[in-house]
Amino acid sequence: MMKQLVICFLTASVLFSCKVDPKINAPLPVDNLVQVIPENWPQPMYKFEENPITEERFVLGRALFYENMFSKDNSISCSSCHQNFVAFAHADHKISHGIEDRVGNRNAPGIFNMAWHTSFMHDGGSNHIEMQPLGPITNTVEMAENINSVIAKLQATEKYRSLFKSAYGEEVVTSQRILKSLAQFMGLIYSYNSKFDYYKRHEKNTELTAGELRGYDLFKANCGACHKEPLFSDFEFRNNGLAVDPNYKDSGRAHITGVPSDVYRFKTPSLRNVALTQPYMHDGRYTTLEQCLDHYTDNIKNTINLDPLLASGLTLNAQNKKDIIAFLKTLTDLELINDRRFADPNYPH
Amino acid sequence: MKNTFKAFIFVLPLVMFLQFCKKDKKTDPEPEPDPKVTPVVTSPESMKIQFSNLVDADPLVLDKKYVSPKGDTFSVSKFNYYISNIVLTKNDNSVVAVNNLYQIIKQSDEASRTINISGIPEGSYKAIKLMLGVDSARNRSGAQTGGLDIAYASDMYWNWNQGYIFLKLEGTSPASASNQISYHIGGYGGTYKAQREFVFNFVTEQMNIAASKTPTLNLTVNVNEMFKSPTQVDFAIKPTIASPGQDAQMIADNYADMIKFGSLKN
Repeated sequence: MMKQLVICFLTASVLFSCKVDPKINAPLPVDNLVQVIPENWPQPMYKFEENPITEERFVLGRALFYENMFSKDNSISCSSCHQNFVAFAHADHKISHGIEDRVGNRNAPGIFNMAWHTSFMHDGGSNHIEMQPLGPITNTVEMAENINSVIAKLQATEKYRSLFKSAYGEEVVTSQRILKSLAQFMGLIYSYNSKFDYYKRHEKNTELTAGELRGYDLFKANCGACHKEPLFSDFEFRNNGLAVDPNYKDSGRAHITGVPSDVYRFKTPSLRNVALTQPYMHDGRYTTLEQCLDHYTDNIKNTINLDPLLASGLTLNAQNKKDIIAFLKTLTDLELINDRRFADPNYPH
Repeated sequence: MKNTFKAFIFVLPLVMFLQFCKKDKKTDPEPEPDPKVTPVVTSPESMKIQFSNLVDADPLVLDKKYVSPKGDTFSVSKFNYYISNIVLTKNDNSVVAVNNLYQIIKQSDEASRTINISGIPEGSYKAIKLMLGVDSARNRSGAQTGGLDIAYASDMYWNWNQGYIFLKLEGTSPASASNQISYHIGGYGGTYKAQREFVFNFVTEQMNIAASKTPTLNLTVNVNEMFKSPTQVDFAIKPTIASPGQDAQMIADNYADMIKFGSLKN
């Protein structure tokens, strides 16, 4: 009888361990890992054709996104400057700091809908979603690391040998596997469930307020030529008339192309989630949306290659600006920032 | 018997529960086979291409002093370049393209200076074409393997201005204010391109590919052609080129005749 009691006791303890609060011990979700192309959106650039989506590869990509070993001194990860709760931008940082508090000259943009982007970085210096991470990994003011060292560090850990084995059938860490897994994670971060999207799709009885609707009309007339729906960017390179910061002297797109007509042009950012992604502009010089709109009405500088659409600035009164900002706030996607598939797997609760 | 039954009663729910608890394990996805393209293709060998790096008539030796076309003393500490897109032309004008072969020829690594090509159909060939650089398509196709694996090409890739570096020469010259010279040449698209193609016609003797033989083509690569014509390079004025653009294209136009026929051994 004693024996049975012991078994019973063991049974109970095993049962208990099975029943822990799922919020505490459950791994992060990996459900619904499919490429989404919302209705009336263009076809994405990146279709995962040569990078078939699997749960295991996404999980590996997520682990890598939150992995400090990408930096030379193992101090920072992709997520250090791309934070889940602000649509993967860097909250309150004009310029992000790399290892040893080194600083560069660009503001970290949000990460969502990346599969539609035709290039990456403010100057378009990256030509493919799979190759983009090599920029920050190797930049001496960011992670200051090289890919061979990253491969060696990951290969030396049981955790990654196991994750690579699950994802690719063998423990071997390769650059291609790292980059394709990161592309699965980043490429599956979508933003298409803002209040504005619900309104457009006639979902959840969503209506825009009178002010938001006025703002939408003003937005279409004044901003929509560059910040094109539905992605709210045309992904082109434009000089939007910012005064040249003498500390940075950042030539923008010309830094990549070497072509004088590209001087001071930067990639049009998407305005989805713009209420979350402050500070603004390629160098983070503005901290509020009000300052951004004031720039377009009052502070356009006629530097070379100024976009012709901004030649005489925008004409908006105080109420117009309030309305536009009310509209911009409808582009915030709370489902994105609360999507636990994209949360830090090192702190799953 | 009674005890066994009791134990069974106790254990049964446990087993059932454990089954229930077991993670709903989906069938393992078929691991994607990685196309394995090794930088050096080995047996069965069909032919070899050997690259002999020179400075004018002298073999290139790292850190040895040479004289540039302008007359400046210089030495070379690193000399690497990509060879790719090899295409052979048969006597009947049919062509055989060697796909997925991208190799970095490094002066510092003797083995790298021979390209071994396998799988070429037997026959007589009258010409060979190759590219110095990497074609535009592979510069924008994402993460690659083999000769384009970013781990293999870690110092032949611009991470900030993405694309492969086609040719890299580093060294010293007293003509340069910093005493350093550094030419990183690339650029696959846009306004400035730095890939250059070379065609060699086998005039006196054709190349015969057969199971029993491994013909060896020797090509010479004269470093000074980078600095000679059409634009003579002055190390004092242009000691460094580190991005795609006009300057890189100028060097590419210079190196467009850098690779020359040396010999063919059937």
